[in-house]
This record gives sequence, structure tokens and C-alpha cells, in this order.
Amino acid sequence: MDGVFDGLKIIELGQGIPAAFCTKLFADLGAEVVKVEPPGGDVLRARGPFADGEPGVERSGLFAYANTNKLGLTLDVTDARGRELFLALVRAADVLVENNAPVWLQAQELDYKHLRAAGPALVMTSITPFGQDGPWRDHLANDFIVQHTSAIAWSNGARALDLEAEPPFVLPGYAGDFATGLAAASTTMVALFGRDADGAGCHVDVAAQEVLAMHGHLELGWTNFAGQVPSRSASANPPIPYVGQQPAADGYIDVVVRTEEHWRKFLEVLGNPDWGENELFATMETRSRYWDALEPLIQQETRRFTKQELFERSQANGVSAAAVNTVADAARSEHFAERGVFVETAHPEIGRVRIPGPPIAFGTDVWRTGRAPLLGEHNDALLRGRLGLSAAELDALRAAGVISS
Amino acid sequence: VTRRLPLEGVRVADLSWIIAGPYGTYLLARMGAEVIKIEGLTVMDHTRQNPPYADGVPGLNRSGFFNSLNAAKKSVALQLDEPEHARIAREIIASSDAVVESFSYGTMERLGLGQRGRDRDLRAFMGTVHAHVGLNSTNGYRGGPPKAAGGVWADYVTGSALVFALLAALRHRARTGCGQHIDLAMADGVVATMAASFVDYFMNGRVAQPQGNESAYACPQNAYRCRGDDAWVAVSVETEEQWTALCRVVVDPVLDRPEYREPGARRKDAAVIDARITAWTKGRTPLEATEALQKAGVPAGPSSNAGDLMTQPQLKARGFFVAPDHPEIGRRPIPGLPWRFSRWPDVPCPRAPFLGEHNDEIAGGLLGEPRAAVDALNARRDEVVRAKG
Repeated sequence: MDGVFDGLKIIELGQGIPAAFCTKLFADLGAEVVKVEPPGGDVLRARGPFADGEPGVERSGLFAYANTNKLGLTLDVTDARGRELFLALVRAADVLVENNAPVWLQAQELDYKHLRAAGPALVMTSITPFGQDGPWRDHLANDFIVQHTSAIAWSNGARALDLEAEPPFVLPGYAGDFATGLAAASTTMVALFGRDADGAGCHVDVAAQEVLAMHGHLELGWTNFAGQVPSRSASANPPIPYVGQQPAADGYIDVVVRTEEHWRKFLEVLGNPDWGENELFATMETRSRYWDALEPLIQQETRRFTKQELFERSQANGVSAAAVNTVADAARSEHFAERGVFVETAHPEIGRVRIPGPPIAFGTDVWRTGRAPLLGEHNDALLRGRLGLSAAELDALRAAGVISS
Repeated sequence: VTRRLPLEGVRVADLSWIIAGPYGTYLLARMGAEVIKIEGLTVMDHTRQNPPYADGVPGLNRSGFFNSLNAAKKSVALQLDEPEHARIAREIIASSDAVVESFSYGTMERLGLGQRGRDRDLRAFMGTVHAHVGLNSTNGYRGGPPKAAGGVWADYVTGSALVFALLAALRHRARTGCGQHIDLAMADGVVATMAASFVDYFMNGRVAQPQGNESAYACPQNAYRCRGDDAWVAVSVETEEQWTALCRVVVDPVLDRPEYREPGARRKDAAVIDARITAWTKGRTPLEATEALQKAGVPAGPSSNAGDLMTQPQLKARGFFVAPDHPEIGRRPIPGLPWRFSRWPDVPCPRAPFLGEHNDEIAGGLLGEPRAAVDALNARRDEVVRAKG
């Protein structure tokens, strides 16, 4: 895979996670990505977690993760000179990835209609909460709102014991923003694949709400095929006796029992308690019916073991189970270490930082582990070196606040 | 060469099951790739034989889950543990640009069709992946127990990554002539979507805990009860401007206190503030509350379920749902695509295939197998269809 993106030039005009994570995947695989930030910096720089908990423009771990291997340029594209310089970069690029409000981009005359004139081979990927058209185009939203409007929060808050006290709630850590960035990288690849055939670019419209609504196949199947709108209420959904999450001595274990054979093996894991012989629990169907009686009995046994003991006993006995690991457990996992799930990147301000590594293992190790750029780190290299500005012109831009000082 | 769709000319042999693989190959198929689903005769894709069924009537061609995830693909029905059928599978793979499989480790080798790390032999379903990587431990209400992450997060993230990975590998092959094996572990994709928690642990030693709808960067932020059955509106206030805007819409003397212009004070009294907002939302539907708040400049949206998605104005206007014509179950809406291209405005969506529907086209046409061999495949398929409906 060496050099799969060699020579591919990408410009990112994004704030926050989705556009950054999209272009990070290309940058980590060798593409040249120029991240264009406003002179004050990407909003993600002001968002934690921060190194040692201390805020600072170069201290956001999230920024350091989402922007590895990129070149950093600050440019106020709302300024006429800034806009011209931006256009010069776009003219020489293959791909532009952005996640700005469509009205703002139009006001800057940087929407696809204008940029297409800069080069018909340009692939422009636009990421927004709701897309480039429709009545909600200009609605304000973040990952929290989008997870709710796309039914992710609904299914996350399903099987509620008390509907009024347990609202639908979101997956943590801007998970939807990362999924959206990943989908945007996939669709940008599709557009590039089309361009490789005939040289023509296009505009790609990625709506975060639609990316996440794609996850609703099962619930939508119930609605549109079987004519049933599912309920979040636990009482409306007879428990599926897959066993599920149960308490251990020091946390929780998650067990999936799908067949009678799995069930027998799970009883062995628990040390074959007497109630295992009870015919009320003999089949999936009866276990479902008497689940309220059965679950406390299971819990009595699972509490006798640590989550790791239960996990190891289950795996050894052919039962699909996982310890409900904490982030610390997963971070220290030998398996993850062996797979290279986490990598280290060296940063001049915050030192060595461990971050999640490649989400895909290609046939050969091709992922770069360079760091994220400092604010305006490559202003000189790009504006002088590439666009041929003089030192005096650069000073003037700095003085006018078009680039960071 | 101008193609009708961007991935025209790409052929994918698809041995994957259930969600992750089929979702990825669905996206490839919709974008023009020829995806040949190789389905077992005794053990077929679980989604073919599981509800939800059209009108609740079981049948091999009636599953909503299967028909959504496998639209636009072709199907060849093969019993892979029989040498003759395995040979045909090998020929399909040999004539393809890529093969996608989601068997447990070692199966491809055992079938003669042929990953790294200590846990590769783990028996893992989607649910246990979420537990294993730590996602569930950070999911739930503040102070409450971990909750199994909803939906099938790992599968869709993996399916989405599959498109990127496979096309990157094909680009590499076009340049160098070299193919490769890609190892897509569901756990790795989920870890990427959990970066905030992991980075916080590595930098600060903090172990993320469930926090429900709360955020360190928005207050108030919650789902608020509305008029209607289990109806909620999501509201998130990130800036002072948005707080002022909210106070203009939700007119309430409690909220109007000057000290609440400070996010810290709002956070301290979040329960009080949430109660006052609920007093306003509970007389309105989620859409009414959304419209009023958005008009004033407050991020808001209905907290939707599957039924709501079908009537949501934005998805409707965007034509998100497509309804392929199916001779047995008619037109049923399925989620279409997570993206639009200016170049390819009309992407067709043929229905999901019947079991072994393309035996003739693929075994007979593409591979040039003799008539008798194709007839034998069809006879085996028809036997299964007769037995299972």
C-alpha cells in the first residue's frame, strides 16, 4: 500500500471533528492534507481533553488525534486576500473537504458553484448536519442533536424500565462525528474512483443525520415491513434471554447465548447451579417467560467471579462473552497492544501522546504516525514556498490578521 | 471512460453475513459495483431467515433486515462444504476484483478459499465488541450502570470503513498490480469513534464514566419531554448567544435570572433549568418545539424513532428513503444512501435478490459452466426454497 495516496493533494476547511477525521484517514495514508484554520484556530483546539487538564491552543488531545500528519495553515478566508490565497491552493488540489454552514460558504462565494470554476476535476466533499438542501439545511446542530434526530439516541435509550425518567440519550465522546467523518472518507474515495476513470470531479454532499440514520435498518424494517413502530419500553419488549449484561464481583460481564448448547455451556461456566436443572428454564422460550425469576439467580452466580474470570471461563468453554471493560482496561489490553490499536505520536508542546491508531489493517504497515500541526506551523512553507509570497507580503498579512501571528 | 456509476466495472465476491460486511457491500453495490453474494444452502445469511418479515409472514424473501442490507446485489446459492460448490465459489472469487468475508478466523482457509493478535479466535457478536473495547462502560446515565450501546454501532462503522479500505486497496492495485489482505476488526473502528475517552485516559489518567445527555461544553443540554407518546426534543446550548435566544423563546422568570448568563451557574442548577424547559416543551410536539427554538437560533431537533424518521420533513425532502419494487412483498421503504453526488444524481436501487437468483447469470454466463452444472445448482436451490418458503 506504500504510496497509495502519494501526490494526492487535499485541502481541509473544517472545524471540529467530521472534516478533520475524514482527511486524517487520507493524511495517515500518505496524502498531503493542508488544514486551513481561521487565524484564531479550529474550535477543536479549545475543546478537551487537554494535556494535564490544562486548556491551551496546542493542548487539546482531541485536536492532536484528529489532525495527525497534516500541514497547518491559518487563513481568514472571509478577507479578500485570504480568499484569493485559499483559491490558489484549491486550484492545485485534488480534493477539498469542508464542514461549514452552506449559507456561510455561499456568502464567501466558496460554494461548489464557485469552486468548480477553479477546476472541473475538483472533488469537493461537504459535510453538514442535515445536508445541502431541504427545510433543515440551515438548522443549528452538533453531534448531540444529530444523534437524537437520526434515532441513534432512541435506540441507545431503548429497553427503558421507566420511560419518563430515562430519556433517549447519546453515545459518548462525539461518536457520531467520527462515524460521519469515516463515511465522508468513504464517499470521497468513491468520487476519486470515478475521477480516476475520466478526470471529472464532483460535489459530494454528506449529511451527518443520514449517515447515522443508515444505522436504523432493523428498526426501520419493523416499521416499514412488519408495520410495527418499536417501543423503547422494556415491558413492551419481552426480554430476549441472551443473558446480556450481568454484574460480576468487580464490574460487569456481557454474555450472548443464542442456542441451547450455548446455554448449557454457560451453566457450566457458572459451575452448574442446581436451578439449571429446573425445567422452567429448559428452553429459550421458557427462559424468556420466567426471565424475572431467572435473572436474579444468574446474578447470584456471576457475582461470585471477577469479570475477567467470567470472561476467561466463558471463552474457554465456547460461550460468547466479554468483560464490560473500562476505558482503562481496554487501554491496557495486551491484545490491543499486539494489534497496534494505540500508537504514539510525539508533540513539541505536550510530549508523547498515545492515541487510537489505524482503524484498518492493510496488508503492509503503511500508516504514518506524524503529529498534528501547530497553529499556522506551515504558513511560511505554503505561502512563501508554494504560492511565492514575499516575506514583506507575509508580514502584511500577519499585521492585518489574515494569518495568525 | 465515462461510467454510469462510479464503481461500474468493479466485481466483488461477497461471502459476508449479517450486518457489517453486507452494509459495506450494499454501499458498493449502490455505487455501481457488481456484488455477487455467495449464500449457503443450509446456513444462509441469518437476516434472510429472521424477522421483521413483510406483514409478519415468514419467508426467505420477506425479511426487512435482509431486503434493506442486500439491495442491488446478485445471489448465487452454494453449499461451500461440497467440493464442486467450493470450486464454483473459487472461480467467482478468481474472476472478482475483491472478496469480502466475515467468517470466524480460519474458515476461509478450511474451505480452501483462503488476520493477527491474541483475541482473533474470540467468539464475538456485535454486542460483546461494544463491551470489550470499553464503549458500554462509558455509555449510560450519569451515576448509573453501563448500558449496552444501542443499535449496532460497531457493524455500521465497520461497513463504512470497508468502503474506504477496499477502494484504497483497489487504487493501490491499479497503480502497482498488487492485491492484499485487509483486516477490518470491528473493535478497531469502534476505538476510533471513542478517541475522546481514550485520549483523556492516556493524557490524564481519567477513566470515562457514563454521562447520559450531559456535556462539559453545553448547558443546558438534554432531551426534554414533549406532547405525545414517548415524545422528546433534544436541545443543546453551547454559547451565551444561544442561551439568550433560548430565554427569548422559553419565557420564564426563573431562567431569566442574570446569574444564569454564566455557564457555571447554569450547570450548578441544571436540574432546575431542565424542569423549567420541560414546563415549556411538554405542551408542544417535538417538531413544534424544534421550529420555535431553531427560529430563534437554538440548536434543537426532535429525538426521533424509526417511525418518526419516515415522516421527518428533512429526510422526506431529501428523498432519503427508497422503495425498490419487489414482486413478492411490493414496495417497502429502506434507508437509501448516506451521501449525494452532483455527478450521479439518480442512483438506481434494484431490490435484494432471491436466494440463488443469479445462478444462471453468474455460473452459466460469467463462468461458462456447462448447462448441467447450472441446472444442478438450481435444483439444489429449489429444494431449499420449497422446504423453507
